[in-house]
This record gives sequence, structure tokens and C-alpha cells, in this order.
Amino acid sequence: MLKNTVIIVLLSVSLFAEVDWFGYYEGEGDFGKVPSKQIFYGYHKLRLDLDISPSDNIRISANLIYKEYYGQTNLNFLDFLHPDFRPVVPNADMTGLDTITYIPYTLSDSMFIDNMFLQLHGKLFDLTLGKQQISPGVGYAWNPTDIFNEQDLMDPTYENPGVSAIQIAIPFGYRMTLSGILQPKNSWNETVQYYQFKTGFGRFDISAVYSRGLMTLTGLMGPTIHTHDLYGGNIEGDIIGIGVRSEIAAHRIDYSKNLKYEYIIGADYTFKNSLYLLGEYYHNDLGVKPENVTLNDYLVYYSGERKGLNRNYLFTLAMYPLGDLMDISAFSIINLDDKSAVFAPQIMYRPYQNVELSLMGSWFAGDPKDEFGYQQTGIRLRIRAYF
Amino acid sequence: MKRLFAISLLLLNVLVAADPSGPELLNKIIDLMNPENARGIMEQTIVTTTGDHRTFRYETYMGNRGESSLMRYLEPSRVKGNAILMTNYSDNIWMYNRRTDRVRKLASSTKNQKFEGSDFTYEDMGSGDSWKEDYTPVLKGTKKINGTKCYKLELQSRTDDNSYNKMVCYVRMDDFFPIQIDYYDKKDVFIKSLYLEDIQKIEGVLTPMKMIMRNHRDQTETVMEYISITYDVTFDKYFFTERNLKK
Repeated sequence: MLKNTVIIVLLSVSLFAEVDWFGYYEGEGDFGKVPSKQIFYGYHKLRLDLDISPSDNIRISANLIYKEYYGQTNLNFLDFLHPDFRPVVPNADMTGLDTITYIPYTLSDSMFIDNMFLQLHGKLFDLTLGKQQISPGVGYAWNPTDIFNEQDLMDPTYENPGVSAIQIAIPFGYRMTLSGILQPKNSWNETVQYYQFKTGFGRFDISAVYSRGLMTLTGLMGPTIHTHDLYGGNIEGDIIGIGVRSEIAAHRIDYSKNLKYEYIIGADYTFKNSLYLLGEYYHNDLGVKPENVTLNDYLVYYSGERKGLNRNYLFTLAMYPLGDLMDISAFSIINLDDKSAVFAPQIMYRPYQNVELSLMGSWFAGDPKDEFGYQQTGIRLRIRAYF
Repeated sequence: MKRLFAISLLLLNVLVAADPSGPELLNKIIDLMNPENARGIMEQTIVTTTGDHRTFRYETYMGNRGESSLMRYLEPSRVKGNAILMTNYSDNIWMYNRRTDRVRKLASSTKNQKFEGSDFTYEDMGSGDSWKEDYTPVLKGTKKINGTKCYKLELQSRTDDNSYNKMVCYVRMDDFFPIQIDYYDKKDVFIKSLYLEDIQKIEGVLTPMKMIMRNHRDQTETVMEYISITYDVTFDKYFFTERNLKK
């Protein structure tokens, strides 16, 4: 009912204002192979954006997403993990133990307003109110200072979902901004506060971050809630033509004196022949050692509450334009702790001005009990047409 | 005494009428091509290797005599709202992606790469008066280009860091406005030419309403045309910053 009301309001507004309509259709098919079965599913997605600027200093923006899945939409989470990770629980009459073999995961059709915000640009501040994308951090594959989004390592540049928040940015000098984000929750204690001071020196951008909120960790027996303070920073710049970046977050959980560190160090370079190379090392104290991984760790990891299952990773990306209509690329993610890896080559073709077609393969390697060792192969075909 | 005075006058006349030196000519070109500020809407058409035409439209802002520039895409839908900010003569490049709402700072190794798949590089778009520091100007005589008498000015790279080994500018003798620039890569191979056409005086500033970059190596072509332009504009001192990039 609420969704329909919002849609009617948006459509009504568009009748009385000069509205810019745009968006895209995206179709995707995914095939994956694990030892026990083959999985095929896909989706159709329509994103409809509207943008209204009644004056230079006001912007209203919203987008509606309709997503419809097809194929195997009822999945078993445990199909993607080695059988050793299946949980053992007491049986119903408490006379013995049963192994759980099914944790359902359903891909449901959905229609929702992903972003809907009002932006006011003043001389002294910029204010954004409403559901908006917030994507902090300078890392490519991992963003330790991003507490708002789940990461998808197989598609790190995909748009993030909207976050209901109030964001204010106050500039006070050339390349100097203080910004604050409040993500309101049930009470002030639960409300997420995120502050960033950003400045620039020569070819470098530098920022300091502090945030406070609650951290939810999913578990088989239910979620646990923890207080979470984050002290962090970003640096991004250029040394003799090489792009360098680092992002660090120090986590204080449940007021503990021991800080847990999470950081990335990365570099990228574009050669004269247009070959682009990127590398990023990621460390996360919150990850566990390979020998201590349990189902709970996978649940926390796949729910996006932790950015790495283990502690040390390497991401590499190579990209090369094949003419003006096609790019080929390949990335790899290497778990440096358990030595498992995934390698994913991709081809992107732009047959028309507003159409992108991409085909990605993925090969997994490692011991079946390791992070990338159990899944075998995957293929993803995606088409996106903008309007 | 009278004779000496007459000779002096003659000599002065000859000096006044003499061709400008390479540095003088380069200064004149840079002054003419980099007005203090500008704001306009441009259309960029890329002729791809398959012969297709891809058209981009964007609003463009230039400040501080070309030291800073900001471009925001208006069309096509695929890139609508994306923006590029360049400062310090394209040494600092930030790119904003509207769909992901992310700003990325690009490494300076990007500046010799193609700008949105066109035949222009980021450096071509935002070099401003950095030519003075990066290249040695040498006047190489005169040449007629399409019936117009031009100075031939060769800009020779001072360092290995520059994208081009040399550029050859053909500059109209009557108003010192360039009408053609030939680009040579690091191996001194002739790679592309920029043709500046339909030169009009807009608000007292000579403006090439159409620029064609023809890539002789890839057999591709990019045409940039001003849909509108004004030089009667001033920018806030913080206009060319990340804040405005995301606006």
C-alpha cells in the first residue's frame, strides 16, 4: 500500500514539474557448478529513475526497481559449502544428533523504491535527506570504512542500495570538507553516526573517519548485537603516475580495549598501450584463521557483516580495450591464508550506444574445505540497456 | 644624421614586421585558446571503427585560463550525470559515477588515455597553458593550409613524461589562431590531427565551433562541436572541487 502511494505521488509530481526520466533494463543469467549439483538462475531488472531540479540548489531524485527472478530461485545455502560445515544439532526427541542439510535461501521477486532523497545545496553546506546511496572509502574491492553496504567481490563496482539517512557536508576551504551522516534507528544509541573530514594536498586526497553504531552478527542460533566504534582514514593519490590508495579502519567492539584492524593497500597503473592493472591487498583482524572457520563464520561473511572470511587477501585486476567497442578484463581473488583462489575473465561489448553486454566466467581453485575451493565454475551473462 | 635616422626607422619597421619567435607565437596561441573562464554545452560524436556514430553531449566549465575544467554528461543515458574534474592542467583527475555515487581519483598515468573512447585524451582536453612548460616551441617557417597562410610551429617535448614527442601547429598568420595541430607519438610516428573549424568571434573571443580529431593510426574520428558557449562567466573559488563534481 505504501509503495503504491509513493509511486502515485512520484508520478503526480512528474506531471507538474520538469522531470528527467531515465533508467535501464538489466537481464542476467547465472550458472554455477558445485560438486553436488548445477545451479541456474537469473533475473530481469528494471530501474526507473526520476530527477527533478526546481532550481540550481534543489534536487529531488528517486528510483524504482522491479526485479523478477527465474530458474532455481529456492536455493540451499549449504550446497555452496563443504559437507563438513553442516551443523549437527540434537534431534527432536533428544536421543541423538541430526545433521542439518538444508538452510533455505530464496530469491524473491521484488519492487521497491531504492533511492528517494532531497538535496539542498547552500553556500555553506550540502544537505541530503532520504534514502540515498552512501559509498565511503577509496578501495576498489574492499572498503573497510564502509559500514553501510555489503560488498560483492565478484562485482565490486555495482551500485549500492539506498540507505535512509541524513547527510550534511560543510566545505570550509579549497578541497576541505567536514561531513556527517546520521542513519536513524529506533533510539539514539542505535542510530548510526558517521563523520568524515576530508582534505587534499597536491596529488593526494586524505580523510579521517569516525563512526559509532551497533554491529549485528548473524549466527545459527540467532543474531547478536554489539556496540561498534570505528576510527579510520583514507589516502588516495599518485606517485610517478602510479595511483596509490590505502584505507584503514580500527574497530572497537563492545568497548573492548583491543582494537581490531582492517585495511587495504592498493595501486593501479595505466600503460601507454591502455593496459590497466590494479592490485589490492586486504587484511582483516575480524576474520578467522582457516583452521577455525565454522558455519557461523560463513553466515556472518555471506550476510555481509564481515568483509572477509579469513584475514589476508589479494585482489588483482587487468583490463584492456579491444578497439573502441570492447573491453577484456580478468580479476583474481586470492585467499592468502588458505591459498584458495578464484579467477574470473570477462568480456564487455557495447554493440550500441546505450547497450552493454558482458560475459564473465569464474574458476575456483583450492582444497574443497577452503573458501574458494568447493565451488567449481560459474558463468554470468548480463545485458544492460539504458534509456 | 638624417640618413642614420632613416636607416633606423627602416630597421625598426623590418623588426616590427618580422615573424614572431616560437615562444612568442606559442604565447599568442595559448592566450587566444585559453580565455579566463568559459561555460558551454558541447556535443562529441565519435565515429567508431565499425563506422557507427556515438554522440555524447555534456556541459563544460573551464576556469583559471584552462588550469581547471569540469565536464558533466547530459547524454547518452549510459553516462548521464557522470562528471570529470581536472585541475592543475589535468595532473589531477577525479571521475564521478552518478549511478554508484562514487568519486574516484584517477592516477596521472590515465591522462594520456582516450577520453570516453574518443580520439581526444584527458590531456588534450585539459592541458591549458602547460604547453609552455612541457614543450619547446620552434618556428619552422610558413605553409598554406587550405589556402590560408599559416606559421608552422613545432612543439618539441622537453621530457619523456609528455604524451607526445612533438606537435606541429599551423597558425593563421593574420590572427595567430591555430587551425590544425598534428600529433606525433613517442616514436615520432604521426598519429592524429586536430582540425579547428568554423572559427567565430564569440563575445570578443575567437572560438573554434567545431573541432575534428582524426586518428590516422586507428582510422577513427571524433568531432566536438559547441552547441552554446559564453565567456561572460565567473566561478566561485571552490567551483572546481569534488563538491561541485557530485552536484
